[in-house]
Amino acid sequence: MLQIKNLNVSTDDTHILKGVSLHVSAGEIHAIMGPNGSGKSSLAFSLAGKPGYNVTSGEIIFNETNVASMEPEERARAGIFLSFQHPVEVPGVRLDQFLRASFNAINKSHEIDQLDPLQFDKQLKERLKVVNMDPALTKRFVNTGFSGGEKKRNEILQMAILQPQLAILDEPDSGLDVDALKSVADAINKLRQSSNAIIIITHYQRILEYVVPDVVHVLMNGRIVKSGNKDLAREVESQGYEQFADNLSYQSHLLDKESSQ
Amino acid sequence: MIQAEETHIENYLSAFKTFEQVESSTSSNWIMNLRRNAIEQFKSSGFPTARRGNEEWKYTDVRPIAKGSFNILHNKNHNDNQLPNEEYQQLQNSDCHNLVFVDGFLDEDLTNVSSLPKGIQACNLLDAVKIEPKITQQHLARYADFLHHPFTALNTAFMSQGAFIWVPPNISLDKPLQVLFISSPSNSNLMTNPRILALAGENSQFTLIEKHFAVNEIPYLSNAVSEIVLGQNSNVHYYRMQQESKQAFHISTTHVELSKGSKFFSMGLDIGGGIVRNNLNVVTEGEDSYCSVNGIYITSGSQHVDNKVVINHNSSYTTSRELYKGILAGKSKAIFHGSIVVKEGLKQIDALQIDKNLLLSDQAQANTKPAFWIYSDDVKCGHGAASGQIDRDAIFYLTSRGIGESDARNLLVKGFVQEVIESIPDKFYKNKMNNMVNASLLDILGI
Repeated sequence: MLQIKNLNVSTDDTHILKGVSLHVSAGEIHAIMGPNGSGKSSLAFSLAGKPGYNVTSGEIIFNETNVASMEPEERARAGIFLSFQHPVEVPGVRLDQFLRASFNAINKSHEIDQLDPLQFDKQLKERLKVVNMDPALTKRFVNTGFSGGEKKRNEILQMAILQPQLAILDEPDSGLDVDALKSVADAINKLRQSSNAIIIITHYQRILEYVVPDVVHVLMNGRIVKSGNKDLAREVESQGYEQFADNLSYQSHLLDKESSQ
Repeated sequence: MIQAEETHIENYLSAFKTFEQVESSTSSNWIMNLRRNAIEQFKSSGFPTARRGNEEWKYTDVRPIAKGSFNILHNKNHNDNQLPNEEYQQLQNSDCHNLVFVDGFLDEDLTNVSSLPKGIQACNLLDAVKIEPKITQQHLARYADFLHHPFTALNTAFMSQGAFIWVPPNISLDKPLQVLFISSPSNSNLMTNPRILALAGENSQFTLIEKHFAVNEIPYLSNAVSEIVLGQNSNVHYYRMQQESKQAFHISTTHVELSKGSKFFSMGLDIGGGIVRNNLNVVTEGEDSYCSVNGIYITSGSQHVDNKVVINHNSSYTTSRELYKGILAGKSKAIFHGSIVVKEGLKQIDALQIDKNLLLSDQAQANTKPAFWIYSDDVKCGHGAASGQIDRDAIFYLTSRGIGESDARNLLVKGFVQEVIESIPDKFYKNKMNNMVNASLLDILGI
């Protein structure tokens, strides 16, 4: 479903992603772990098409199309979804109206009938149950004054409504207490399907206890330095990221040599 | 330059002489004297055109007004049916008691106050001065200070037909009272001096709409003064909608006096006008009074909109809330001066002032000038001001959900003023204001 090939991304003058390659198939859950500043969120933003994240080389092939130069809305319509680490507050725009606008915009691009507020409300109610979210929040402005947990849950609600083929969840666990974490993980598991794929970006292993990944990658200094099965996450947790520093210097050495040629 | 200005003031003085003669047969001595005092004031002050040391008009240069030669219409000369059909229909079907003035004169065909409950008065101010001399003399021109404000002096000097509203104690009015000031296409370069005196008796409750509206894009000067007096425990909602011609000058002064336990809510919408200055002055004369004053301005082209709001906390246990937001496009300019004055020796004063601007172009300009004069200790006073362009992170957030970029922008622009609309306590007006804002955004910005 998703093939990232030697992706290099820069913002302004900073080279952030330095040749990331990744292959994700339908039905899989991938975890990307890494220390602060390793490029995890940059990878997420690059996949979603955030302006300012310039792909200098490499490809993002999603369902046989290179989406690297597509606008964010086009990628969303193609089935890519990003759950934000820091969901943006949008004062003045009511959540239910935003959700319907989003749902209809994506449906419209697929020539599927749009829903009126009443029809949409029905769907929304069901999805709210799936993610165990307070319906009253949908009458408030998007994320405005929401608690950290409410914001994260709201991201998963959007995932539940839009049902993307590929969901990139950027630290869906950060700032959550254990109960909220379990509940968010539970919602993610409910949304898991054989036709969809999920990439979870996380600093810590704890959410991976609840949402079990098929593949775990370690991202450091803009490169994937190691990939493995779910046990790799435990290894990271017990031994930290330091152990991969050697891989990093080795790979950097090779890559720097390559790029200088 | 000075000479030219003096010549123009001479024009107003000679127009006043004619005005006096025309009005002498219908006006009482009391109002004639009031007008003479006011014109004397205006004669000595002239227009506030000085640029140096002129804090009050620092950001709004009224020289274009001073240089203009505006005519005073002494007799009603308009024909019927000057309103566009759509507006006429709207007026006929409106859920309001309507007092309609065209070019300063009461239009009896368009005015409809016949279904007002007994006891409530809504009539021509000129008639009220005769019918209710005591009450009008007690209140008219007692609040809007013409001694220190040249435009108020000019209005008071030429004050003639206007709206008088009196809601007696313990009465709640179901439908709003709408006072409509229309500038017709037949009289270009006119100066009108719209005037409202609205009195809310004890425990009374009503909604007042003051609407300024132009049929065509022609130049004129509309110089309005409104005085709104709230009796004890009364509750008044005041909507001021300004849709003047973009070639017109609009100066408005609204003075609100709050008695003990009264509550005042206001919502201003400025869409039209070339150069606009709104003065809103609220005085909490009685304890436990409350005001929430709000405004939205949407400007484009070379429009200039200046809102000056002064809240005078004169009594203990009083609360004021101010929330103003502007959307500025083109080369337009908006100013917000918010002054909060707390008299000495007061207890538990709570004041909050917020002004925010969304700039849709690099050439649009917003100035916010808060000022606080606090002479008591037991005061909670806050303010916030911000001007900026559309939040790029918010655009990305919305587009990442499949919403197209221009739709995302439109959502954010509309959302920006939504907070102000949400402050409207009444659902009906909330919808109405929402529709008006959406219509003007469509009209001005094509969104």
